[in-house]
Order: sequence, then C-alpha cells, then structure tokens
Amino acid sequence: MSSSTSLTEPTPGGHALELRDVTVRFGSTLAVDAVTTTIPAGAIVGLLGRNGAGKSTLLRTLAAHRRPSDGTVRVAGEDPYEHERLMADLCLVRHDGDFNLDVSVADSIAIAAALRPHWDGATLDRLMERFRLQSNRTKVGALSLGQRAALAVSIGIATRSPVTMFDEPHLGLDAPSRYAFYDELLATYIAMPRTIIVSTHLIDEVASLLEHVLIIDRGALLVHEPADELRTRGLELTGPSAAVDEITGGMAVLSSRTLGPTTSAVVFGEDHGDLQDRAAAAGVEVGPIPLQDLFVAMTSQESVR
Amino acid sequence: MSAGAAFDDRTAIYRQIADRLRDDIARSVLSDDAQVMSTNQYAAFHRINPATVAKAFQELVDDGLLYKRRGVGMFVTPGSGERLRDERRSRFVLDVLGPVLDEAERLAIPVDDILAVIRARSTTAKGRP
Amino acid sequence: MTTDTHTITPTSDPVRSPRRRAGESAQIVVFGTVAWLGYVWLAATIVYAIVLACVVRWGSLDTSLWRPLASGWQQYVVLAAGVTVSTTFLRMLVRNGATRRMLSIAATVTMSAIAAALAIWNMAGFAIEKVVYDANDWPQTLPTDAVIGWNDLPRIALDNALVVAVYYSTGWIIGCCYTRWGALAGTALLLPAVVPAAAMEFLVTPGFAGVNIDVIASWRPHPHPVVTIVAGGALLAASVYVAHRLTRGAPVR
Repeated sequence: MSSSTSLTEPTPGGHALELRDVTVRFGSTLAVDAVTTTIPAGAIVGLLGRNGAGKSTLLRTLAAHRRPSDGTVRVAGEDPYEHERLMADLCLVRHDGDFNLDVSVADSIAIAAALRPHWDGATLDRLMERFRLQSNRTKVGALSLGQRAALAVSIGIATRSPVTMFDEPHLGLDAPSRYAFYDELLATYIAMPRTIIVSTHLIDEVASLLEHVLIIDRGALLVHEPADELRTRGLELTGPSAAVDEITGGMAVLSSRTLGPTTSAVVFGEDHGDLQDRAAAAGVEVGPIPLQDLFVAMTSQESVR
Repeated sequence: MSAGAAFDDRTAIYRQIADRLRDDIARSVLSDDAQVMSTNQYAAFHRINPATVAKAFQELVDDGLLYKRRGVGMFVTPGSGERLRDERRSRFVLDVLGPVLDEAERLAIPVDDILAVIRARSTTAKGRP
Repeated sequence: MTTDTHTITPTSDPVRSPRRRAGESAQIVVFGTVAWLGYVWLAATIVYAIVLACVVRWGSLDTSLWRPLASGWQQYVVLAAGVTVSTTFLRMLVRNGATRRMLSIAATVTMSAIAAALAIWNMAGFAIEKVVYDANDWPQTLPTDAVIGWNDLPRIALDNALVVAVYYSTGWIIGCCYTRWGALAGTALLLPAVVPAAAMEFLVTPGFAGVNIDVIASWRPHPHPVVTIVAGGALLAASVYVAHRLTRGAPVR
C-alpha cells in the first residue's frame, strides 16, 4: 500500500516498508549489512536474531530514529526521515521504554497522547489496568523495569501507529505480562490491522502470531519467509553417514552430528517430493525440526553465511 | 503455556487448523449449515495470526466444505460431513491398512493370524454393552 | 478468554495535523524547560530579597547586589537548558513521532520565551533595587563602576535578552555536537561552539549582562544599541541556524 493515508481516520492496513541495501556503520563496526527486503503492509512480522545481531539498530533505522549509513528506507513509498506525517505513523517501543526517567507516568502518557495522531485513550486505560499500572505523578525512573516495559508496550499499542515496532518486549516482561501483551497485540491488530514488527529470540512464544519471519545474523538478512512456510523448511536427516552426505549434497546444511556410523544433519530447504523417496531408499529418516531449533542451527553456524 | 499451545511447531499451522476443522466436520461436531467461528475469533482464541487462520478457512471454502454468507460468516456446506467420511473410508485401506499389511508381510505374519485378531476384536466390541 | 473481538471505534479526537503537533512540541519543550528553570529564578529572587532585607535593616551598600546575586550567572543555567534540547527533548519528541524540525522550532520558541522572561525579570530586579537604593541614598554601582540610571533599564533588558538567547543556542549546539559525534569530538568542538556566545559578550554594554570580566570591560567598547540589535540579532540568527542544521541530522540514541 503505497498510497498516503488519510489524516482523518485511523489507518487500517498500515504502511509497507521497503529496505534497499540498508547499511549502518558505527565507526568500523558494521551493525546492519546491506539489508534488502520488503515488509508488506498490515503484516505481523517477527525479527529474529541473536543478541547483537543488529535487530535494534535496524528497527531504529526503520523508525527514522537515525539515518542508514548507506541504502534507502521507504515507508509507504517515501523516505520517513524527517517526514512530518510518516514520522508520526512510526512507533518504536524499546524494551526499557526509552523513557525520560525524570518525567512522571502521567506526563509520559500525555506527551504521547499529544503527539500521536491515532491515539486511543480507551485502549491505554484498559492496558494500564491489565498491567496493574497507574497513571500518576510517579516518575518513570521510580518504576521497576517490568512496570516500565509494560507502560512502554501499553503506550505503543495505544498509539495505533500504522507501523508499530516492539524491540525485544520480552526482556522486561514476566511470563503473565508477556502473554497479556501477545493477547492485546493480537486484539488490537484484529480491531485495526497495521504493520507490526516484533524483535525477539524467544521464537516459540511468538511464532504463531507471525505472518512473516525475518532472521538476521551479524547484521545480514539470512531469511525472509512467510512464518508458516518457514516452519516446514527445517529438516533433520538421520541415517548412515555416507547416505546422509549424499542426499544433503547441494543442500544448505546448517549443522551435523555424527555418532559412529550414523549422521544427523539439519538442512534448510524444501522437500521436493523426491527427497522423501530418495531418503527412504537409502535408509535415511527425514523429520521436521521446530522453528526454534532451525533458528539456533542457522545463527550458530559459520557455513550458513 | 505457549502461544498457540495446542498446535505443534513443526507443521504449517494453517494445515493443522484446516485438519482440525475437517475433523470437526467429519465427526459432526460441526453439522450441516452450522456457523463456524470467525477467523478473528479463532485467531484471538488460539493466539494465531489472523492471516494464517484465514488461509486455512479459505482452503476449506475452496474445497467446498464451507460456504460464505456475506456479512454473516462462514457455514458448513450441507453434505460435507458425509463427503469427508466417504473420503476417509476410501483412504483407510490405502493409508492405514496398507502400511500395516506391508509390515505384516515383512515380519512374515500369516494372513489368517491377522484375520483372527480382527475377528476377535470385533467380537469383543460387539459383545460389549 | 472471551471470543468476542475488541472493536475500536475510530477516535473522535480531532486528528493532529503536523502544525498542531509542532504546537504541542513547542508546549512540551517550553513547559519542560521552564518547569525547572522557574525554580532557579524563584530561588535567586528569594535569596536576593532576604539578603537585601538584611542589608537594609542592618547595613549599607554601594554596589548593586542584584547583579552578582541574581542576574550575573543566569546565562550559565540557560546554557544548561540549551544542552537539554538534544539530551532530553530530542528523544522525548522524536520517539513520539515528532520531527527534528518540530523540535528545532520548539527550541527556538523556548529560547525566545526564556530570553523575554529573563529580560523582564532582570529589568524588574534592577528597577526594584534602584528604588530601594535611592530610598537609602546608596549608589547602585556595577562592577564596571557605572551607576545605573532609570534610562538604562531598556538597555539592560535588551542586552540580557540577547546574551541569554545566545547562551541557550550555544548550549543547544554543544549538546548536538555530543549527540552526533560523541564525547571526544563533542569536547573538541566546545571551542568553536562558544564563539557566538563570546562574540555576543562584546556586543552588549559592559556590566549590564554577560561575563563582565573587569579586564575586558575596561577596554571593551560601549556599542550603540542599533549595532547591538543588528549585529547581535545576526549573530543569534546564525547560531540558531547552525543549531537547526545540527539537530536535523541528530540520531536518537
């Protein structure tokens, strides 16, 4: 959806994001390495990566908190940096809330309410109650990390921004709060579909919520696939070493373990019908592996790159 | 407790949802012309992405098992339950019995022995109140 | 868990246009700054009033007390306020969807508001002091040995406004340098950053505002008000422009 959104109503559908060769350098450190991809409007996207993989930097670049060192970011077809309308439509919630700690809870909310065009006070009130938070004169700095994170996601959801990003929301939230967050996120998305990006490494928790999955490692984009397809892409082949080697030849082998004459290899790829047959003929067992295992195999392996 | 806990994490979720709906229809949990949950209700209830749910529902619509009534919702096409049961009966021999008999052959179990087991079971089943 | 969906009806609030959000941004920065700056002014006023009352009761004076006690150091506090543009408000506003341009406008409004408020406050302080001194027959002398007359008050206001404004923009520039290029480069850039403030010192009347170092004051000229307004205004505009440009490219850390 590249058409600009009307200012007179909430924006169902959200904005599409296009990244072309997006690169971010800090001195000699390459934080984001030539990422090119398109995130469709109105999708819930998971940004998966290990700590330090470049998730936060990429999200900050998408949120126009900074410019890329190289490459271009397009939101609804336009450069969001300093774009009066698009900046208001981009919301990045960092796990600690990224608050000004000497500002009160009430004022932090008031500031967001004053500046966000699609602000929904009723949703905020409901979320505050659910997370047992109070809008009062307490300074945000006096809240616990968990309360701060809950306040941050509450405000983030209440902005109803056409592009809403949550950077590792799991870090500050305990398990009950995380599931409350996932429920609320889905509820608000159903009520008003928009583009939502959640960065995390707790894949199992969010996998079913996602429509697309992006995996980045060391700043580079490894995978961008529909989440439901990715679930079927990780295969484990177990059998006689020679047979496993032969079948996996030419496939992306993420990891492999050998015990005596038996090898077990995790591969990333599609099962083109004949794989099962060839494996069965050679006495090799083929089984799917969970998304979390696929992610671990992918991001802990040198050869993937 | 994890999001979408009732679903396994190795198979495409939309496939699992579609299979469950088929099961419900085949077992008449969802009878003819019964309204099925909306995709949004289903998504919120199971904590699943609505697009994934919609894909599963669409597959059943394409199969003719569900039909849409604009603005109202989705309903079970009359005769779907019977159709699915027919399909499953015909697949039973191929998908269930086939592998069993192959294995029996590999293990050299005489056909009579197998028949005896089946007869004994069905007698026990009949003998039960 | 209920199966009904939360239906959010479109907000009935008037949706915020960029212009409206720029106005909100200005309010946030003005109030967020004056919220603490106001206490500094209040404290300075109270301390001054107490000291002056004591002196009137028990002693006597031949130099202005307002100048060292209340007026002479305000610009440094304002410099700190300028630094908060990038250290506090950049994050606060941009994180909530405002542009850096809105922040720059907000900071410029804040700068003007502070300059106006301090000019009036300083003028009022000297005026009240003058009434008290005159009643006691004390000369209201400045460190430059000049004695303040009633017709000096507008000039005091003008000089204070310009000095305060340029210190604010200097702090704003310094903060931006640190935000953009880090501690090392930020510190290295301190020297060029203070040039506008130093230059402004030379455009105002010695003793009325600014650093007022006697050594400098003795040979520093007394600029004509027109010179001060034109050159000082140009200097201020240039420094605000630099601050705007630096803000435009400032990343939110």
